[in-house]
Amino acid sequence: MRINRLAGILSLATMAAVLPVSCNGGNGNNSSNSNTGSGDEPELIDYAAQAKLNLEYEEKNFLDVGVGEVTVQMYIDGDTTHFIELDKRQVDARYANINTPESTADIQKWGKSASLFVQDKLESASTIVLTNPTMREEAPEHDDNQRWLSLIWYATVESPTLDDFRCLNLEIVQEGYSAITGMESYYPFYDIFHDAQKQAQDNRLHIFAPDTVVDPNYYVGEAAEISIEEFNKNAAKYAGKKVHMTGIVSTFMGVQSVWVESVSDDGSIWGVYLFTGYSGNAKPLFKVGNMVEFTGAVTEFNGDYQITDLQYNQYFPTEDDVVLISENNPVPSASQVAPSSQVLAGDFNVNTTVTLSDDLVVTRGWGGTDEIDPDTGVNYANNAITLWCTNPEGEDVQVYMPNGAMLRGDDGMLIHSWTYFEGKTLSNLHGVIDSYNGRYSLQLLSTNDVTISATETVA
Amino acid sequence: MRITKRIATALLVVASTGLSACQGIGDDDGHNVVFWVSGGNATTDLINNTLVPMFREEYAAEMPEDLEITVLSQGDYNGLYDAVSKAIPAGTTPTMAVAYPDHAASYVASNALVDINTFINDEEMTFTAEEGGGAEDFVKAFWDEGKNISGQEGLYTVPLYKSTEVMYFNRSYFHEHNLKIPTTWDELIEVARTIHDSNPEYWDKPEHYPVIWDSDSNLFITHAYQMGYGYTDPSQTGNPFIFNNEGNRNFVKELKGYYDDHLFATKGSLGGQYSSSFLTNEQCIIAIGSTGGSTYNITPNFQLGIAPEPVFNTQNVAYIQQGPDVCFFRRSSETELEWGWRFYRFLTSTLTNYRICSTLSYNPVRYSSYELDQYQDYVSQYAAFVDEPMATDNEGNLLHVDSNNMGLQSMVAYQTQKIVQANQLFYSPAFLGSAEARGDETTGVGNVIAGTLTFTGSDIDGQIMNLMNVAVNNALMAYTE
Repeated sequence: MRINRLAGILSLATMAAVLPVSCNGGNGNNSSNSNTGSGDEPELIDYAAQAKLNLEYEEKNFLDVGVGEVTVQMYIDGDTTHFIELDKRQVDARYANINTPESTADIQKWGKSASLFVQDKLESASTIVLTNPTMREEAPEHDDNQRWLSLIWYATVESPTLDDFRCLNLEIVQEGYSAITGMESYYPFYDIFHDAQKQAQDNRLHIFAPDTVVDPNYYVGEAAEISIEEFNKNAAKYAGKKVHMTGIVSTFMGVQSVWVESVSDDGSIWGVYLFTGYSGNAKPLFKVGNMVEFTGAVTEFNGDYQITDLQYNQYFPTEDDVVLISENNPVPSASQVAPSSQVLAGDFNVNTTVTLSDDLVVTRGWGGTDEIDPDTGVNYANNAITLWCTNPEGEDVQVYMPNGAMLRGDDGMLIHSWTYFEGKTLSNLHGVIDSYNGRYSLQLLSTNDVTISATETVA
Repeated sequence: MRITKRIATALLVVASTGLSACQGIGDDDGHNVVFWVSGGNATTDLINNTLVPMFREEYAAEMPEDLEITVLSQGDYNGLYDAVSKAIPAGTTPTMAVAYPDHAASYVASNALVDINTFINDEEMTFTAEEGGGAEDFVKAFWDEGKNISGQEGLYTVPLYKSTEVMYFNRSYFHEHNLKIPTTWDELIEVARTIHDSNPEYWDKPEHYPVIWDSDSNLFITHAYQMGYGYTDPSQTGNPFIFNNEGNRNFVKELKGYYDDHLFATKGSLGGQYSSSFLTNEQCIIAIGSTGGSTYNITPNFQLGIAPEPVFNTQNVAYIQQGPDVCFFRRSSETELEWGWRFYRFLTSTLTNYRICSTLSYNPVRYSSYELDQYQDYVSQYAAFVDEPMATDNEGNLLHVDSNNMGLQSMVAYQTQKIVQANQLFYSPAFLGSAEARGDETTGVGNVIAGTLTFTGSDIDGQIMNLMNVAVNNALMAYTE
């Protein structure tokens, strides 16, 4: 939106004089202001206090009727959070009508700050309610990534009334963490959102601030030149910062997951996981055996550290772009051929690949989109499959196929249920070593990673 | 350099004689070029982080020191249209915005846009030879689309980058099942039926269709255009929305049958989900979608193919032209308009436009971009896979593009270049109500298809007629406002 300086000053002065409402809203929520100019900061109108939740939510489920109470399952970023409904169904909520800067696969200025702002607000909440952005009791719509478009309402007092709720989407706009996107003019809060956005623009909050304003959560320093071994040993030290590493691509899944390895002086093999988003732009990363240099941000996800914000554009190259050094290099961990007991014992490092020399028999499992989630009574939301197997030593070995792994059955079509594997023998297993709660497991990424056969019964 | 007096005078004359007295320029001397765009972070990142700094560097000697350039995404095209429509009466329009000519028609009616000829006709502001030259270097169909919108003389939008539709298909599946690549609509349905009947248990699952066509409205408009049934005709001043006719209704009814047989679906009938996610998940084998979204189809799980969209009428082969134009708003200062226009010239200069389009998977707007050696290298790299998609080695194995189809963008660019060279692009005229007639999968002719495919009642003819009437009436309301 065009900022007309004179008009901006006049309108702000008028607003402040006529409606001197502080942004310290009804729930004690503080508004920050990144305008570092004169120090004579104007009072801002708390537009988030003007939008009222007017739908009864108790004992309703958002996915059915477009309004319902939820709890947080996982914070993703400034405009996406995973919630759980009262009936245990998972709701991957995409905050409607906003688009905060990125803080996952790509890292952008104000992205992490927006993400922390959302987390701070929801952690302070006693009650969280999702509504359809139309504010009608009608089933919600999802975006192309199967995320449900929602307004997120939260209250910080116990036993809240409807008046106690604040609209987090609106608060994000009011704070200048996002411009409004794709908002239909018939939505009930259309004007309030636009007034809040104008105020954020006029006051140059966060994304509307001049380039000289520093985002304390956005790293702008040089990338630290480190080895993959150093990353594995001291990842927390680099969290939030940029690192530069070199290694050989060992495997990848789709266009969003890449594993890179290197060998240390003592011969040990180390691996790192790169989350590359969904564009497939960083082409040198998507060929096994490529030796690459890459610069990325160290981020934490589900307790593990990973590299994100990989850059590559052959038409507008930058110094942080992924660089292809050489092709057709042997993958260091190709030498890791061992029985599964060695994987369980932690003989190999996580995020390296291993080929199992023994067979596993599937005893139980869960997951796959054809299966019903016993917690919710509906189909699993994604195709992740977990198998519990026994090895010849009688040990339990966990084999995991993440959502996005492409394993085909006998008919050539994708497998959508763990039961396809039930009782069968898995041979020629090759995958990436993972660790969760101190227990090692094997991730399979494609049909080529396993031979599936009927288990021979012993007479 | 300041905007020349000649331009300023011309613009002020337009303003003073325009339809709305409150519209004008030069009522302040703002130095903030605000550019509203559509699309996700990739587009705004590229413009903000790369192109604006390049532009600033190139024009550092002439640019006012305090000039700001602010690029803001307003969501998808409809969100942007809505935002601009609201900003016009509020007096808060940006300097420039991405716009479909359909959308620009309503901006023109509000007297909000600058006639771009004002820039072009000024010798100090017009395109330079270094940029690639003037209108004659722009792909004719791209350039002409912005002319005479709503029948008003002038040029109100200019092309930024363009796209059309192509057919993406699972080449590995075609090879394994020995299928022939369809070139006509009848062949497409025949292939769909063969795929379905080979494994009905799989294809009868929810959200499994051998063929998915992304854009409901493009499907409707392309069919009507090729078959000559008629879509809109602005020369018919009473009711220019001529799409509610027997030929079009019969086609929609035909689609309904294919949908019910689980052969064919559209984005609208699938709740707005793009075909690319179905293709990569192997829930469809053929996806017809925009060349602008090609990277979303990239997958390492099978070999992808590219082919022209199957045609309805081999005697009238034509593919719909889409992709954004740019328009300029009169309610901006002279400085802002001058530098906004310079920024547009920079974005569409021969080399820069090629680089932008290759990054975002769009098609350049200048002939000179297509003629660049770099572009020819880019498009020819995987051309053989487009010309002979089912080629095999001596042992009968399908030739692979590469391990995970990273050559797809190049293949799409090559296919689109062939379409541009053959002058096979078409567009429907832009005038008041044309945006509403087109709509998306929930409004306009798009909704006629989506709303029919998902209809569960028995009176299909009645449903089609009802949706047609709704689409015509909504368009007429906008037309007569």
